[in-house]
Amino acid sequence: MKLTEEQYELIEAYLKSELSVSDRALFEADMQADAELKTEVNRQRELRLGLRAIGIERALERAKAHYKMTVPVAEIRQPTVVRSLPVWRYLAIAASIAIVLSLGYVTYRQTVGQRPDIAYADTMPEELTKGFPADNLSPEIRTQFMDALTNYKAGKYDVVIERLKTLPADKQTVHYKNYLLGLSHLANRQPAVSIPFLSQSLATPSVALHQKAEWSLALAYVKNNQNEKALPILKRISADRANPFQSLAQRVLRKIS
Amino acid sequence: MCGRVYIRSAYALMQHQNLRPYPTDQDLYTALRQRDERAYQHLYTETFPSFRYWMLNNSASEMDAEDAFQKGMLSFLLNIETGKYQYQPGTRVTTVIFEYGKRVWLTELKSARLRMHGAMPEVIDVADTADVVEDLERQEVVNTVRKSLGQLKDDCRQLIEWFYVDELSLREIAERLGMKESSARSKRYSCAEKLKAFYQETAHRQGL
Repeated sequence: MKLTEEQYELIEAYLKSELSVSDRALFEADMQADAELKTEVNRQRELRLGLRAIGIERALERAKAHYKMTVPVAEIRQPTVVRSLPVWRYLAIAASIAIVLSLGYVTYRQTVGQRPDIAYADTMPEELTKGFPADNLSPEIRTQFMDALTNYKAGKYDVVIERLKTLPADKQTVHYKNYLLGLSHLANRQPAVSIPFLSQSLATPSVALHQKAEWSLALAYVKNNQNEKALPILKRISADRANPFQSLAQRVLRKIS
Repeated sequence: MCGRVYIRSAYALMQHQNLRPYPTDQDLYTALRQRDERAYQHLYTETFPSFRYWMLNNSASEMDAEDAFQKGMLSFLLNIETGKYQYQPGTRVTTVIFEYGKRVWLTELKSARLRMHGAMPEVIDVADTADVVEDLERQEVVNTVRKSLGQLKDDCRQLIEWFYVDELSLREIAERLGMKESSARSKRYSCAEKLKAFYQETAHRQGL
């Protein structure tokens, strides 16, 4: 049913409880008598709810960012944690987040030709690379990660790839290693080479790493002119509110669709 | 403008001095109803540390804790919006938020374990099924709206976001667009109709 502007305004006023008591009663009587009108009101109510939810989500993200800014790091990382991930995983996660953000920035610029101002600028603070945990991690591995990261930031992707090859690749580290290798090849303008690494890293049991790998894989496909393979991945990410790359995927999707 | 700066500074000062910015739960509930973002920040400060601690002791990671807390908060705030949750004297708002977050996590844990092992310890099976189904359905509506919004052309999407998401008045929108308020009103109507058309199409495809 196509509403007139007056009908639309009337429904808005009803949903915002702006009608007088008598007008409200009349409107509700109309709804009872007109199933189509009732459907329209429900549609508009759903749209308002959805849009309001988007507003709340954004406000909650701002509240979370504010909380992280104001609460001292020591307080967040309180020593009362009973179950913790192996330290190498914290390091790898932090390194991979930092790398994917940097890479995303570069790739996004190259892929969609849009100014990078809103793509990643406010996604994460620059502090990500600071405060790597040092306990329980072998100094050798830590040094390799740090070197890889430093070289990555300096744009020396060939060096990063060489360094990553020497990282241990047991059951736990292999997914991270593949992921970081894939990212480095992608940043090195070798999307075709990056695709197998990123695909393999999807086998990780870690949801967070899987999300990052999937997003990077979609970018690699786009860079490799395989939009048909990128599209289903981007659509899946775009539909998943819990995915941290959702809004970025939506933007890339809009550009390539 | 000055007043707003003053209020924010006063709030920050109260937080800094460890004074309670919301002396009663009724005050906090009212602020949430009024969509006061400082109340959201307050809930983070008051509730997230203990929630995070509980999560880390219940098979969760740091990211899981943040995610479940966000989802629980969203669900709670939407229930306030729709009137499904009403203030209950004697009930701490922070406790309710904690329970919402817990419910989100236990539901996710349950579905993950069912997928992997086919069974679930009874102790973990506490989520109210009806509520969860309702939340999931609502989430589908939200996702469909989000998708439909993304299908609008930039000018329409921006206007709809300004009005419904950022809650700007039509006068403010008209000023931003350099047009009369009546023109902004008409444009909002035509954009809302386009959004509805995309929404209906998507919802129909998804069987909503």
